Amino acid sequence: MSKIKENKMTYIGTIFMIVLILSGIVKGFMESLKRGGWNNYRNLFRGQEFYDSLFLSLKLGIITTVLVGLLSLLLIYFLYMISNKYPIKRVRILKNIIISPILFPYIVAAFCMGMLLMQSGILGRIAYRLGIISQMSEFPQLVNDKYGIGIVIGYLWKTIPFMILMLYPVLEKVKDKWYDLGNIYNATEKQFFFYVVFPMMKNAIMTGLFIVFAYSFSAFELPYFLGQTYPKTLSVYSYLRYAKGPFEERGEALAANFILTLIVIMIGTVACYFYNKLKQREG
Amino acid sequence: MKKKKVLIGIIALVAMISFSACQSKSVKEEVERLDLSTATWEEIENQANGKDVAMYMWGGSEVVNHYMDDYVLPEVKDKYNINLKRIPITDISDTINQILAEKEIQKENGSADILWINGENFKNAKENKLLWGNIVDKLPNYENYFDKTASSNTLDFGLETEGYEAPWGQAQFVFTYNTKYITNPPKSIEELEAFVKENPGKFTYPAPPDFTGSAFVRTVIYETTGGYEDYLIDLTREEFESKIEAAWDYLKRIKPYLWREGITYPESSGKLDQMYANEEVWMTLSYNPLHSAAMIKSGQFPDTTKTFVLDSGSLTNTHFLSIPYNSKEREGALVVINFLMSPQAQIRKMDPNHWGDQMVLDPSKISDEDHKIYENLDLGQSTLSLDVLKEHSIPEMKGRYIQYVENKWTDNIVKD
Amino acid sequence: MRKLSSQIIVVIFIGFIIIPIVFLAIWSLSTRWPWPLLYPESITIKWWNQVLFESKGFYLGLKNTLIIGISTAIVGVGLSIPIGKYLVQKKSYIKSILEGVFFLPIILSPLTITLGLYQTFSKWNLTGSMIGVIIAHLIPCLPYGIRIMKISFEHFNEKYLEQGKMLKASKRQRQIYIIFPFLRPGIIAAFHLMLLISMSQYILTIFIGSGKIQTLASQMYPYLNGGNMSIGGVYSLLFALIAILMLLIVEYILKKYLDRPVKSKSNLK
Repeated sequence: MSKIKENKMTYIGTIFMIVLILSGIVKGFMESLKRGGWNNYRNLFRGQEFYDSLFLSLKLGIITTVLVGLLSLLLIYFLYMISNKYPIKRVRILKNIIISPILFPYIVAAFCMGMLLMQSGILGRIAYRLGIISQMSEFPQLVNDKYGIGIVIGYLWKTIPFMILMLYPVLEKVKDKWYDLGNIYNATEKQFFFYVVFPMMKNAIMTGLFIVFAYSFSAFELPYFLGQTYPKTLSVYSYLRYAKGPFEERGEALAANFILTLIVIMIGTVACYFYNKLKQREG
Repeated sequence: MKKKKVLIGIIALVAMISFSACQSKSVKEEVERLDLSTATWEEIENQANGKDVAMYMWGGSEVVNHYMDDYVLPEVKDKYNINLKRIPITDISDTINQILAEKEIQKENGSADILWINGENFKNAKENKLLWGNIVDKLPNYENYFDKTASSNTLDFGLETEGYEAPWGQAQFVFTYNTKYITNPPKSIEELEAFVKENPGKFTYPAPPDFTGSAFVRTVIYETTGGYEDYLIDLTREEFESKIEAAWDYLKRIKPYLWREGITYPESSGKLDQMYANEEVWMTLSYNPLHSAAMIKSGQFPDTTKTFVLDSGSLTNTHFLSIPYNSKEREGALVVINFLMSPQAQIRKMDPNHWGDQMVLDPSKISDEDHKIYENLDLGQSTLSLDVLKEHSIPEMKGRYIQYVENKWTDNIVKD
Repeated sequence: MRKLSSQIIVVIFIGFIIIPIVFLAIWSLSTRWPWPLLYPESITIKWWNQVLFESKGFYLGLKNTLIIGISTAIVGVGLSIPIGKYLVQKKSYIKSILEGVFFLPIILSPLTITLGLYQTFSKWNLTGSMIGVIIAHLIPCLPYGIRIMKISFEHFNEKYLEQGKMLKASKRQRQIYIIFPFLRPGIIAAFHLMLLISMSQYILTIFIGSGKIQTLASQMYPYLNGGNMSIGGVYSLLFALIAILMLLIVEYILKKYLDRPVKSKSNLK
């Protein structure tokens, strides 16, 4: 009896999600063809701005993902080391502190990073007080800068906690089940991490990093507040074009948006493919 | 195998349902509607009694929100038994978008009853037939207290309002500066150029299409090309392009002396205000002459702040209230708008303690007691006197020129 | 030595995480904070007063945020469990594609989905209504929920179920005593995350809600977007505090509810 109920729920849920998601995407595509048709795409590809924006989005996405990957692995490693020395309850508290930025929406992150990293921000004032700089303009440009430093830092503040959120449960589970086994084999902590803990995390790591990449590639708030006037990331470009541009140019904005969507989907498919291949190889 | 069949069957069913929902719904709600072209004001007030009216307006200003929540909402409830809802939004163009979407699916009961709107948004709304129609001729307060011939009431960025929107307040572009660092503010755009050369990195303007940033660019246009008169008439694109060359040259000249050497600009006037408060720049810009007074009061700007306008004038425009074509509480909307145009509401609005937005009423038409209150308002020590402001007010250029300028600014100035 | 260095590194990370939050707190209490001060000119609680006591907007936003968030999370969990289970059973080509589709909302920008949704919802008269917003919120939330429940199910060992079968426990008993307690951490995590995601939605809420539905997020944005930033700080902190509070409450309730059956006498022991 309950099996049929279960299946019904599954079907309902599945169909519901599919209808909503696909209709959103399809409509988005159809809207991008209104008022201008394929010209919207043609004009987009002809202009320089689209490519500069796309490149910036990719750059930020890749840099963020790489940094997040390295740093969160580092952090989870040290969390692991700490968990071997201290009671698990304390480690959990530590973990909860580390994941606290998840509680704040991205716009708050943008605001904070701005106020901390602007030349007239807190860090600047500390440098001034310490005599490192003698005037505001000597402080390095960390936000609204050419390299997107502030943007990446903002992403790190939000995504490293997210990665820890995804990886930590694996840590506890592995320790639970496998630690004794490791002890039997006289593995050192380091060895244990690399040969047992880390491989078990691979799944979560790859999923997490993919989410991080997709997000940092297509997100809006951080690049809008902490980025430069030109080039804008593709997401900011299409949003501004849409919201503040003349009605007639909406089609182009939506086209840019759709291309963004397409790219993410493509990368997702590719990633999925490699992921499955890897899984197959591992048996 | 069976499961799959069931799955496919359900998907097909849902697909059919969603397709049928695509047919436009012709649900016509029978609403008791007064024929508003012939109704008396009393009848309108009666019909509005007990209704819920939704007013869509920018929500980012605490003072504006207070004025509405703590004064307007209780007053219209008290006086007219109307439940006014203030719907905060970030950008009225989102709402216009929404109404456009509603129109496309022929939705007769819109969500918005009153829109706080002007400029390009009004133009878009009017051109796409998203507004109800002439509303000012129905409003007693418009009849009684307004100078109906004043172009500030009938022209919205060069476009005839035809009464589709009712004036609510006035904006005038002013420069805000910190007397801690500047003793002699520039009086003309040439003096501003000298100023930035002497004080590199201490001035910038928000990137268009931010409206304040765009106003600065337009000020530059007026100043470098001989005044505003030429921009009130129709020009072809080529004529306009060649006319404003001098302005682009100016902006390029001052570029290296701006904040961040003009490579990047703050994305909004809010950001510029923030930078000004942090003393990263020495000037900021605003469309509200009383904005700095309000900011000083709330402790965000230093009290060494003062404002100035250029000798040749500062852009002045009116902001309006309008009613969408598919509002379901038009009577309520009319009553609320009428109240907002009353002398009490207008004078209170002008008081920097409550908002600090200029009055659109004709001072010569209001009662003597009201006039006294008006004269005695303390506008804050950083605000210029009303006479000075009035002397220097110049009209805005046509809306489509502004759009052109905002579009081309990035290409011309930033993309080098 | 190693102990020390790992501790130092963790402290640095902690500092990085905490400093912005501390800063938000100070900002929400400050009057003016000009250069080059390292602390505000003076401390005031007037902003907190304004938001909590003087204006009604906050409580309206709070009410809506919680109603929408909790509903979304409940429905989300309800749907994630069977879907997660379904995805774990024998894999097929279709299932992988389905998984992909479920994954899409995580990676897509809200603007794309929102616009398309608005038209559909309008036709079904869902715009401007709480239900419409709840359904819309499910879109970014479900992928996470499904993912969490799927992982939970992956770690579930059929052997436990078989033991139950052997001990002649009925299907219902097997569900309550074996499956749900095992899923409990996953359910809590899924609920947490979906609640949080729903609370953080901005564009989705203001579009589908047509501005009528005000949530904390929709109220907060204009302040942080160039309005009064001290008030923005107040809202940000309140937002986080409420999120934490809700998570604690939910965890408490779920723990109590899902623990009950195990504590009572069971013939499986």
